[in-house]
Amino acid sequence: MQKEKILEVNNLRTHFNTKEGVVKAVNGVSFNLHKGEILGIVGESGAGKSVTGFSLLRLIDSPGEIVEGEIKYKDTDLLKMNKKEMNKIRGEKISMIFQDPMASLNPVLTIGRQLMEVLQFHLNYSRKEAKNRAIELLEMVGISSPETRLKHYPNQLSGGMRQRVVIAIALASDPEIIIADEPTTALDVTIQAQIIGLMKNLIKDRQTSLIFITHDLALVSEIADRIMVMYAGDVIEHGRKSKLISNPVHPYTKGLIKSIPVMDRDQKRLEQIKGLMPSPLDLPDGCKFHSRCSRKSHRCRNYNNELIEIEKNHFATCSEARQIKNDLIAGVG
Amino acid sequence: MELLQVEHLKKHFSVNDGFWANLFNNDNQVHAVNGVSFTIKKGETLSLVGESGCGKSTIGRTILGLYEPTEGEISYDGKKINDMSTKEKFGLKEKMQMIFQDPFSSLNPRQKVKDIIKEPIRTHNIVSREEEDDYILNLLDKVGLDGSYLNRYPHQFSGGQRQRIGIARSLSMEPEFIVADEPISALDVSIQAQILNLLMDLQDEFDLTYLFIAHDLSVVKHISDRVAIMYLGKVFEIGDKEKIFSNPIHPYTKGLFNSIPELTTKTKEEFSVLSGDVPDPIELPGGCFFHSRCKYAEDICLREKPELKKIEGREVACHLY
Repeated sequence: MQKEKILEVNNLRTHFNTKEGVVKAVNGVSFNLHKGEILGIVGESGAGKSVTGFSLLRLIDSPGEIVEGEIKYKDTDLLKMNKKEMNKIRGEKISMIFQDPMASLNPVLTIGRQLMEVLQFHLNYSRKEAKNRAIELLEMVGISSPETRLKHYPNQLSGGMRQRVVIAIALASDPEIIIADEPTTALDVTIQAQIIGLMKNLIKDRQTSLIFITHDLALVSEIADRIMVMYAGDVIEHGRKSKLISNPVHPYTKGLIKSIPVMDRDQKRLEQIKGLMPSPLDLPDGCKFHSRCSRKSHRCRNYNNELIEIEKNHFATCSEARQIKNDLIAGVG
Repeated sequence: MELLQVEHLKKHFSVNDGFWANLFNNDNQVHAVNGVSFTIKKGETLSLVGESGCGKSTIGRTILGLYEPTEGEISYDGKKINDMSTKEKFGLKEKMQMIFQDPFSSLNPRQKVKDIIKEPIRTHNIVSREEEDDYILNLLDKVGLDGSYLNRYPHQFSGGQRQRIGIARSLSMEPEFIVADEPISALDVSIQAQILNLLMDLQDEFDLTYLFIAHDLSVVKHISDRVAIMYLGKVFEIGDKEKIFSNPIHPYTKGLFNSIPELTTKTKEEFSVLSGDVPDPIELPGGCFFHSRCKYAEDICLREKPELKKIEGREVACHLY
């Protein structure tokens, strides 16, 4: 059952021209997103996951620049749109939820004003219609006595409530895609569970697609259909969640999974990935992970970081992946 | 044998300080810690767990004397800290050290690594001036840093390396007891594992006692011997790690455990177990602090504060039991 493809990203490259040199934050990322699908993008800080998310909506400011690539939303390339067309897409077709709700809400406007703004600007609602719809939206995200809440300022709400308001704003125009960048990182676990549950139910009801960007592999494994692991600006593994978690191929993904303490497994020491992610100013040749990798070979230095299809819909960039693929074919043939 | 004993500790902070507040007698208080008692044995790791605002960091800081307790007693090695002379308290600072959460703000950006570690060594006369350099090099080696880093500044290091510098600094006092306040929550996952392993190795090598403060339960399960679950400045459940993790009893502990994301291949269907938010610590609710979020709450929960009772090998504060 193949669902309709609504976003296709090809070879996206976003670089930042800093005084120290060019920071290659995103280096050729490609993926598809289907209707109603949840795609998780996982990586540590500096992996390029947030820059990927921001690039999709062209929210990259100078000195950053999308230097190459294609972002096709239903066959139109967002990178070729003019400012006006792009504004139509932002907030109406594709909306974004940011990490810190205190920073993404305007502290001097009431939440009612901020909710109604979206409706009036994008959907041409009248004031009255917008107000009624805003009340509906707040109710939908589980905020009690929405009419009074409309008059409140962000500082009068708790962190969890603020993030609920941000979700209400993101959903206001009934977008087809939501990009959520670490939406629960600033929240406590019990509140995180509330927010994730809420987001999941809301998008399931409307068949909205979600790109969920996070550093928390465990969290994303609970909701995503597919997971994309990023490292130093590259997608290094990409596949269906069940396969990627149970049979990871790339040594980095393997290491990441093993370094998470698991509640029902007793272990004395945690597996650790030695070393650090390379500086984005000075990326090594070949596989960017090779200096930390326990299974590196002479091939790694010259590897071109091409994603190899290990199995149907499961890709990895690793010179070892070729080996695994060959083994599989040999096994089958 | 008990190394540290905390009895009925309370710590309140005034919200409005200053002339007008005093004039109008407006003394709103944040009730950060509301009567907490526990002990830590030598060589043991006790973890304080809870969500933000539950008072876990305040307890850590009060134990180290960074805050004055509002009420209650803290004893170290059988002696009440309150009764100690200034000189004794100074000596105690060698024995009790802290590792801070944020390795970016806990190191002076204008000091070299060498000077960061040297300062406490000189203040407390740990080694003679001639031995200083060797002593520092040895410490760096213990925490897995290269000796060539001595003359670098903190900004030249990654988060994980900075945390190692902070650990070296607290080890320089040859402490017995370390309060580790969220030591890995500012770090990336692959680096977290490195630092956790380091802390456990150091505990074995130097026979350290840890008070580990964290909100990440999987990490807590990994490192602790005993665990205390806190909520709004109260301990709700305290006991052996195995007992609590295999069979949580308090409704809050259960809800908290069920909220933790776990690595899985299946998509989770049920998410929120606990509804609502933590109550305002300025105006504490009556009765059990958890009653507004508890689905089992009865009349008594609104009226009376539950005390810790021994149940199935651990202590729980809940009227249900």
